Amino acid sequence: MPSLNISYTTVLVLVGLLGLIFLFLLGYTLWTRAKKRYWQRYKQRFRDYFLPMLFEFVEGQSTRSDADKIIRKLTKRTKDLSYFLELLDEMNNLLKGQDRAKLDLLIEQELFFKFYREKLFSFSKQNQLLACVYFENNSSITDRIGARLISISKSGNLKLAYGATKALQSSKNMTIRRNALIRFLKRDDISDLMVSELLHYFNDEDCWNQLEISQGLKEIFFDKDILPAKKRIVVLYLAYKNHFEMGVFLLQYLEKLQYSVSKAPLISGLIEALGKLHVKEAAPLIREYMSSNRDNSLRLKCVEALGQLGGEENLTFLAHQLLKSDFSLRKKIIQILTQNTDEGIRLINRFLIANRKFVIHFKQQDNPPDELEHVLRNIYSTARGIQIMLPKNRSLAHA
Amino acid sequence: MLDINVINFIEWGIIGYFLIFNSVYLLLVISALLYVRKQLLQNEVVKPSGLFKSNLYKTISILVPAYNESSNITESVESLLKLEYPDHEIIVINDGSSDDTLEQLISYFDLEKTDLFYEETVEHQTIRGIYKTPEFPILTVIDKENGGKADALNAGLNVSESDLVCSIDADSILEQDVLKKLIQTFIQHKNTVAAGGIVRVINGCTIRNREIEEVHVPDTLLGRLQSVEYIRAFLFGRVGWDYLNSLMIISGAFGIFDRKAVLEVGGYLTDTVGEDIELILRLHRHNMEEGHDYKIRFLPEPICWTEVPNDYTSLRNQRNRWHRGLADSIWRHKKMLFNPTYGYIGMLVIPFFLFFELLGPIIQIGSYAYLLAIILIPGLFNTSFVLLFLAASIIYGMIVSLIAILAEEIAFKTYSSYKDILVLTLYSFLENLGYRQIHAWWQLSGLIDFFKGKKSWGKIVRAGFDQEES
Repeated sequence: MPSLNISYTTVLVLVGLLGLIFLFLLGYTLWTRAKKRYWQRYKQRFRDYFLPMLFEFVEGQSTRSDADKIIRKLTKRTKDLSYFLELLDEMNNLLKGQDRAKLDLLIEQELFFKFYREKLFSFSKQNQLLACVYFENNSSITDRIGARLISISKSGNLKLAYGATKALQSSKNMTIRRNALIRFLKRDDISDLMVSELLHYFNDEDCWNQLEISQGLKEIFFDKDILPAKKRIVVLYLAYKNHFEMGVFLLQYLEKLQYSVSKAPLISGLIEALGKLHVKEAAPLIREYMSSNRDNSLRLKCVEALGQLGGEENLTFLAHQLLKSDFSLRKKIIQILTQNTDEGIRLINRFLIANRKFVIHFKQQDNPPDELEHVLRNIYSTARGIQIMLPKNRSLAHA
Repeated sequence: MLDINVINFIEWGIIGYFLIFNSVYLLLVISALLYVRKQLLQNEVVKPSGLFKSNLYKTISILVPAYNESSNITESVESLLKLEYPDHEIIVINDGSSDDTLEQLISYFDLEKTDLFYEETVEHQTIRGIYKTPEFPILTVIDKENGGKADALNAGLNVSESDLVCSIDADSILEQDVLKKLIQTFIQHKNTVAAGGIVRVINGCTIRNREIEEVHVPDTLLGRLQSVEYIRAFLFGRVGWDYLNSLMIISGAFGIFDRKAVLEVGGYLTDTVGEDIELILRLHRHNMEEGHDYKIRFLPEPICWTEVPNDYTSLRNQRNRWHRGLADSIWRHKKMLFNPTYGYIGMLVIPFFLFFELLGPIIQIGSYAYLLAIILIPGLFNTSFVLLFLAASIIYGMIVSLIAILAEEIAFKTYSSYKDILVLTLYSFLENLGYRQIHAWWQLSGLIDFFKGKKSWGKIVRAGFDQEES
C-alpha cells in the first residue's frame, strides 16, 4: 500500500473534485434553467407576434414585397432566425397547395439564404447538417450551393451525405437530382428507409410529370453499382405511385434477370410491382417463378401478384398450390380466393369437395401411409383457414 | 497470520476492482453524453417526412403482455391507441390473469371473440380466444393460458404480421410520438434487428389522461435512489455501450425488434427470468455465427415511463430476479466468452458483465467483510488501505453518479424543476452510502438463488398510476 500521505492526498483530491462537480452542477443548473426560462418567454412572445402575421400572409393575396416586409421585422439574431424557421416548418406541415407555395417566398428570403449558405460552407459538420435541412425546403439552389451540396453528398459521413442528397432533391434541375440519388444509392451503408424517403423527395409532382419522373428513375436499373435490394425499393415506389407506363419496361427487365440469391429481393420486388400495376402479360412468368422457386418470400410475392392480376387461370393455379405451399403462402392464397371473386369461392368449393373425398378415403384405410399424414394436416389447416377467413356474408356449399 | 504479500494482493485487488468498475462507468457516461448531444442535434436529418406519405415504411405491432393488470389495463390500452404512427397495431396478451383483466378489456372496448388464422412459428401455451372490435381495428386481445411474460410475447409474435414488434410492460406509459422517433434508428442504421429506448421513472410525475405533464423525482427514498441509478446505469450506461457498439441489454419494459429476426432465433426463451438479456445475446450470437451484417442499438430519445418498486421487498425481488436473469443468460451463452468469433461482444462486453456485474457483488460484499475484519482484528488495521478503499469505492462512485446527473441536465433537462436536480444530487451521494451495498447483497443472493435453480419471478407490488394522477 502507498504511504499514508499519498492516501490522504488521494482522498482529499477526490473530495475536492466531488465538491467542484457539485458546485458546477448547481451553478450550471441554475444558470441554464434561468436562461431556458428567459428564451421560452421570448419564444412565446415571438410566436404571438409573428404567427398571426404569417397566417394573414398565406391566406391573403400576398406578394414578394409582403414577404420582404415581414422579414424586415426580424432581427438577424440566430435565435430569431431559428424560431422563425420553426414557425415556417410548423405551417409547412399544416398547409397545402397555393398557401404552402407562398411559404417559399419567406423560406427563400436572402436573410435565411445567406445565413445557411455560410453554415453550408463552414467546416463544422453540425452546421453543414443544419444547412442541408434548410436547403431541403429551398428550391432556389444556386450553382455554388449545388456544387457544395454535391461535394457534401459524397462525404463518408452517412448522415451528411444523406442530408445533402435530400437537399439536392429540391433542385429544379432533374439531372442534378437524379445523379445525386444514383450516387447515394451506390453506397453500401444506407438503409431501405432512406431510399424510400429520398424517392419521395425525388418524386416532386409539382415540378415534373409522371413520365419525366419514371424516365429519371429508369437509369437506376441499368446501373450495375447499385445493389439489387436498393433497386427493389425503387421498383416498389414506382408501383406505389401507379407508374403504369413503366409496366412493360419492368416486365422486360424481369425477363432478362437470372435468378440468384443476391437478385432475389429485386425479382420479388418486380413481381410485386407487376401485380400492383396489373401487368397481365407478366402472369406466365410469375407462375413459372412460383412453380420453380423454393424461396418462400419470393413465392409469397408471386401469390400476391397473381391474386392482384386475378382471372380464372391465375386463381385456378393458386388453388392448385394450396396443398403444396407453406403456411404463409397458404394463408395468402386462401385470403385471395375467399375475398376476391365468385371464381375464388367456386375454386374453394371444388377444393373442399375433392379433399373431403380424400379425407374419407384416408380414414377408411387400416394402415394409412405416414407420408399422407402431412397432406392431411395441410388439408385440415387449409379448411380451418377457409372457415376463419371466409367473409360472413359468403357461404360455401361444402364448408 | 496471513502473509503480507497475500494481504497486499487482496487489498490491491479490491482497490483495482472498484477503480476499474467506476472508471468504466465514468467512461460510459462521458462518451454517452457526447454521443447523445450529437444525436439530438443531428436527428433533424433523419426525421421521416416523406416516408409516411408512401407505404414503404415499416409496420409496428406493440406487444403488451398483461398478467393481473385489471387496475390499469384499459387506461394503458387507451393511451396506446393514441400513439402517432400511420400503421401500427396493439396486441394485448392476457397471460392467464387470475383477476378480471380480460373482462375489463372486453367490456370497455366492446370486444368480440373472433378467429385468426396464424402459424405457431414459436411455441407458447394454448390460446383460449382472440378478441377484436370493429371500433378499434388496430386492437387485438389474446387470451391464453398462463405461461409467463416470454410465453405471452411469443404468442404475440405469432399473431403479429408487422415488420417490427415493440414489447412493453402493461403498466408503462409511452410518449405519443415514440414510434415515429423509434423508426429513426431504422432509417439511420441499416439492418437494425433490435433497439432499446430510454426507460424513465414515473413515480412522482404529474400525470393527466396518461400523459406526463410534469416530471418530478419520486417522493420515496427508494424511488429517488432508483432514479439516480436509472440515470447512471440504465440511461447513460446503455447509451455508452451503444456508442461502443456493444449493447447487451435492452429492457423488457421497452424494446423494438425486427419480427423476422426474432422468429429466426426462435422467439423468447420461456424458461428463464432474464428473457430480455437472453434474447439480445442470442441475436448477437446467431447473427455473428451466420456472418450477418446487423445492428442492435439504443436510442437516447424515445421515452417509456415505468413505475419502479417503492417497497424494500419488491425492489429486492426485482433485483434478485434481474441478477438471476443475467447469470442464466451468460451461462447459456458461455460459448461466446473470450471467443474471438463474437468480436468485442465475446472478448470485452460479456467478460465485463461476467466479472464486474455478475461476480461483482461477491467482490463488493467480500471487500466490506474484509474491511470489517481488519477493523475488528487487532494488528491488521491499515489506514492507508481504508482511505484508498473509501476513495475508490465511495467517493469515486459519488463522482460518477454526480457526473451522470450533470450529463442528464446537459443533454435532456428532463426534470421540471431545479429542486428535483438538487434532490437527485443529494441522492447521488446517498446512493453510494448504503444503497449500492444493499443492492450488492440482493445481487449476491440472486446469484446464490441462480445456483439453487430458483426460477420464480418474485412478487412486486406496484402502487399504480391512479395515486399519482392529479
